[in-house]
Amino acid sequence: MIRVLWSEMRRGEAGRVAPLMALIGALYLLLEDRAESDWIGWWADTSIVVQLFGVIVMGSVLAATACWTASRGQRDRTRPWTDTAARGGWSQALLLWASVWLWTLLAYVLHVVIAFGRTAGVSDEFAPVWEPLLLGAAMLALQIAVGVVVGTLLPSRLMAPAVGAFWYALFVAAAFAPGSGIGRFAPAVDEHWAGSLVPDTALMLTSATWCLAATGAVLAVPALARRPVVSPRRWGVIPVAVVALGAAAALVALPEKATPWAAAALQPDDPPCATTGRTTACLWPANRHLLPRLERAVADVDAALGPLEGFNRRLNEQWLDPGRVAGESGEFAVMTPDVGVRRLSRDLLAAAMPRPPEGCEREGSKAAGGLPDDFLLVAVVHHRAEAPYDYYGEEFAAAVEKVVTAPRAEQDAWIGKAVESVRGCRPLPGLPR
Amino acid sequence: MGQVDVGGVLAGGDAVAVVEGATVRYRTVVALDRVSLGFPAGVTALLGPNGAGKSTLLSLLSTARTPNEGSVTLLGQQAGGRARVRRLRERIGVLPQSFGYHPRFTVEEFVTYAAWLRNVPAGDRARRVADALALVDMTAYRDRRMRELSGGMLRRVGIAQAVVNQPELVLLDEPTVGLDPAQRVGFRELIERLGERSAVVLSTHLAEDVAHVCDRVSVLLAGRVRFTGTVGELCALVGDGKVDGGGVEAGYLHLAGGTDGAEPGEAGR
Repeated sequence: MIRVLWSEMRRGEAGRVAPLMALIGALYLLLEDRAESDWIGWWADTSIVVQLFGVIVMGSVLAATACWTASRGQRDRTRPWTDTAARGGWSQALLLWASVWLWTLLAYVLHVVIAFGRTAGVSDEFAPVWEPLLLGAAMLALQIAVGVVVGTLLPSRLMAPAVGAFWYALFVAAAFAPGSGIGRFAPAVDEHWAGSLVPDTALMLTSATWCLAATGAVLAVPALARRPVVSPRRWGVIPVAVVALGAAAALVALPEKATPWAAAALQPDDPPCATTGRTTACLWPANRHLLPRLERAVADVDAALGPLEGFNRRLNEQWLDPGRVAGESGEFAVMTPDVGVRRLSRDLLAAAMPRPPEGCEREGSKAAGGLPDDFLLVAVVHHRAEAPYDYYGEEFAAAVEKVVTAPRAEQDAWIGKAVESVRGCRPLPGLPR
Repeated sequence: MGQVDVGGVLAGGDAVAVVEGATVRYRTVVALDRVSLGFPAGVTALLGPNGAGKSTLLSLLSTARTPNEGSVTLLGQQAGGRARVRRLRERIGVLPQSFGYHPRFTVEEFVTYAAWLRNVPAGDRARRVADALALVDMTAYRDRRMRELSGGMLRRVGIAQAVVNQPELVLLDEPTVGLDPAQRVGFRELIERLGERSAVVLSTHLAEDVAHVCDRVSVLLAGRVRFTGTVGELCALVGDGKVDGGGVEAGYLHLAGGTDGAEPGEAGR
């Protein structure tokens, strides 16, 4: 079997297509800008991005390749003797499928190695997340199996590109119809988990079971449908079909959630935090590597806010439970795992701003150029911290200028009153003269 | 066990394959009409024009098809049922009329693949492949890609894949078509060698092949058996009865002419 499989792998089209896809995927992963990347540095997102490229791009192409290879019986006119072989049609389909899948897995593993290498260069820990990778490998199996079946039953030159296009279109459809359930049966995990989410292992394992069992069942179809071919043994096919149906039923029964494939991570006992003066910021453990930058950013923010009162001085990464802390807390998102100090400082400063109470509808003010006047407070604080802020026209810029050119004590007094106004859902105080 | 006389060969006796009263229809066309034939050890020719039903008969013998009526007994077993068919196919070798191959495979890989398809045990596979290639004198070309082979070489590889499972019944459908005279002579010797170890059923419309290779011959015309007997008996139907290509051709034309008007006499047994 190994020798025959090796022959198939050496001589089949997948042996040429998979290395090409491996190269394209490698370039895709290597050319990703580390500073801008939304996955390099986060293990879960690293697995997700490999899986996503794997199933959407590589899987679609290799499914088309499998379809082309499977139709060779017609093209090479080998059917008269392969169809009358003692070896059953299921085994023949499995051999073809395995030869393509193994090539695909080799490319997939290369992508995993590259992506893991890049993330290991940023992250402080080695903590691979396997579930999305397993799900991707299982989905690739199903995609290729469908290619083999279509190529065997409908051996036409048009079917190979049609199979590739079908899979790609299905993933697009699943992305545009998140509640349709397509995604559970044709999983392509397209989410960002950062450090606050972890894989929904039960769902992912159920979906992977569906993919693998459906692969086995689907591959039996040509042998059942084509008469001269020796059909599969019942006790071989039926258990596989039962497992596939059971997994499918479980997928239908499992409840839909806001995030289809993830669950909330447990709140850490000892999250990495940085404190300067009265300002403290904390991260999810997955971002522990950012702690030195966080320390500098916290120092920047603390310096910018100085002795001002009313700002959020306890800052937590999104979804991180602030726990019982004195004073108001703010929330910031880490958008890229290799985020720089400047960006981090800006995000912390934004998180430190007071928020109006829930239900408060801020009205536009003339002083702020017709915009909600808490925008003006944000702009003033950012201006003092030499941080960028949004520009809303000349009138707005003039208002900012009026505050920041006032004497420092007047500025501080105005800011203090403005903070109280925002928190109390009242109009801003008049601008300093 | 009772023995049935099918075309001069006793079913359940010396017949390796027996077809009894087999009728095969393709929609409204009757491809085989109540055909009864037995195939003993040695080389048996199926002679007939295109469309006579030779390939259909071979498809019954290869278990690719079951007759609409009648029965097929192969190697002592009724052909039918998944498990039995699978076991029978392990003991049958087939070279189809239009022999297809995977052009990128090497000769050795291709025959190994055929051995796998025929359930040759993994432990024996390498030896059986080597034996099959040696039988057809292709050992020296075992690393050559299939697409690089000449027509004659491809036919020999076709034989190798058909015999790699050391079958007791070998079915060859027009194996010498397209070969040059020298290749054909070599091929006939090969088929004769095969006939010494297996029952070979050779479908052909080339009288020369029949005269030189076959022990027995059955003539099919329009889906019916018009003659079955030894090659000598066919040649004896007309002329001086000399066993050569001309004698076979004369005998065959005598039978075929009967279909155009003159009713041929009962021929052979």
